[in-house]
Amino acid sequence: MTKCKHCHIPLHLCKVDDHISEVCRRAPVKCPNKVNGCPITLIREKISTHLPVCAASVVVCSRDRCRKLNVKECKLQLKHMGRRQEYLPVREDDELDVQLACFDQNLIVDSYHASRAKRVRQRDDLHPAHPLIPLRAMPYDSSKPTEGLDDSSEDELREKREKLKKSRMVFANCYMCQVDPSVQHLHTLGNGTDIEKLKKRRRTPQVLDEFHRKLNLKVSIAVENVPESTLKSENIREIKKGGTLFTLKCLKTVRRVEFGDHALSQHTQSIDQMNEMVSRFQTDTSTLTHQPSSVEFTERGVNQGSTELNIENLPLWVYESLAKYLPSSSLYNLSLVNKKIRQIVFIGCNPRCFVEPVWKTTKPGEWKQDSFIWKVSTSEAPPALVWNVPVELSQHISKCSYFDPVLYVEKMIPVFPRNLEKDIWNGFTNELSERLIRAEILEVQDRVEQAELEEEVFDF
Amino acid sequence: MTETAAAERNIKISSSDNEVFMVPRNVIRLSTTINTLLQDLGLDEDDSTNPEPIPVQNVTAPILKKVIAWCQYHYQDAAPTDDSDNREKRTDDIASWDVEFLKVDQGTLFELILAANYLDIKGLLDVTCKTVANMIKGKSPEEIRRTFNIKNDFTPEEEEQIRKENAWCED
Repeated sequence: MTKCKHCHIPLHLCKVDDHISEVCRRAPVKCPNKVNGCPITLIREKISTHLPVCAASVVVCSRDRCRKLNVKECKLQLKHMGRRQEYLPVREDDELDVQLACFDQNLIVDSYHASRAKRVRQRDDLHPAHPLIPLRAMPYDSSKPTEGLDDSSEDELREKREKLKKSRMVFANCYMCQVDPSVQHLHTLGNGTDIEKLKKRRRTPQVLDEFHRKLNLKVSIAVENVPESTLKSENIREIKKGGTLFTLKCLKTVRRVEFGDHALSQHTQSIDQMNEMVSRFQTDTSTLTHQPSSVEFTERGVNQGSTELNIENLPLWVYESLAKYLPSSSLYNLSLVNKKIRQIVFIGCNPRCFVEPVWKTTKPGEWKQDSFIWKVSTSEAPPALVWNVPVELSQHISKCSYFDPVLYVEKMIPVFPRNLEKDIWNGFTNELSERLIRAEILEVQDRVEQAELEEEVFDF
Repeated sequence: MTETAAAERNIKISSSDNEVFMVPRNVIRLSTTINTLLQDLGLDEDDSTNPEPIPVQNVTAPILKKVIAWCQYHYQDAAPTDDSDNREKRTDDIASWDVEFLKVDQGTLFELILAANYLDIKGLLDVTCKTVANMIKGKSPEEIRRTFNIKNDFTPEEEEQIRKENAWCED
């Protein structure tokens, strides 16, 4: 018998190794997330408290959002842009929704840079028309981006033509053909579908508005919120009309503990509400008045003191305690300032970083974990937003030089102010009730007189 | 030790450049370092001022003066609640007196952080860190550089790369 050197439990010698490597609560072990890059060694019984804050405990966000085309012709333009890899600049002083739309369009353009074969292969049951964006790197996908690009839309057109031809055939709608095409039967003649279609067709001309044209946006500025699990097919009106709905996945790596914050701040309270958040003057869509937000910036006294102390050479604990007061976005910005501070952020503010494995492909279809990279977490709780009535906007409308007022030629109708109206109404009801009461009294008097008369008659 | 007796007592402390300050015992109580020192060395036993000043080695006279000024204003405050919460703390609750008090150049501000840590004055450390955090908060990297007068040593390519990937490879 011997004693475990960590927990001092008496054990048989042959069991000691097993005990330490598998059971002992006080033995030092590697974090279970070691394969995912967590470098920490800790005592086994502390694992449960470490895991929630483990740097390698990350999830990939799977929220998505959809975009629709402005007009049908935009799809071809997007394809051309994809071929030429034309991206829109995402300017930071634009409105949030403009930035997001530009960003999304770039992602879509990027997906069109891939060959049609690749895109078709990546379609799935939920996204039968256009695959999820960004496209995945699939095994055995060696097609060059330029391959098959030229005939991309022609392919689609040909498919469509063939479909149309088939549906126009005289017995296309034959019931027996659909039930059992192998059986010999007489076709039901007279294909009524195209007549039906002709009747239903009502074409509203699609016009690209000035707003999107000026911004060179091919996708609509409005984010479409379609539930993740919804089939992106004919059940959606946009697609039924012949348009395309692009589904963009977030795919951001987020620390597991911060996922709630991420979902709230990046999705539920921002992108999902984008259409309501940015209120734009209606005529803005035709005039495009951009007001770049002014950057408030006050210069603080920059180190006039004789001391050599500045933000770059403070002891490490200072950064650690500073990190407690800073949101992740500030830490992220701080990490972009210069090399030294970047290093400091990753070392001093380590609890706010996470680690992610990097995968490298060795040969088609085979992936290998290559190394680990550390990243600063960028998710933070959403800011407390206050919804105000857009007073400025309302006041602007009357002064706006693009304001096109509707003038009414009808004569004005006098209306009493509310308090007066009430008085009049009260007076009226009073009068009415008075009259009613009087009428009632009269009636009673009449009845009494009548009775008296009758009595007199009886007396006779 | 009674509270009233201690209130009238003065304690001598000297800065790193040997300037001696007289501080009321109740005021210096905010510094956990000096407070425990006084208690442990049994200097609280007699009511007289300590003949030898307590040396505060890492803090210069101008900074120590500021620290004492802060303590004198704040010594009657309620003890700060110790929240060991791991989440981000708020930074918008700095008292207006402190805001005025901390309108100093950055060197002094950082010195104050170091002094507050050395003397273990929780409230001062808290408020100075908040001030620095507010200087960083909500600013783009370029604005942070301008605020703290830091040189950007990333090449444009490197900057683009780290912006895109937000990564730091482990060697």
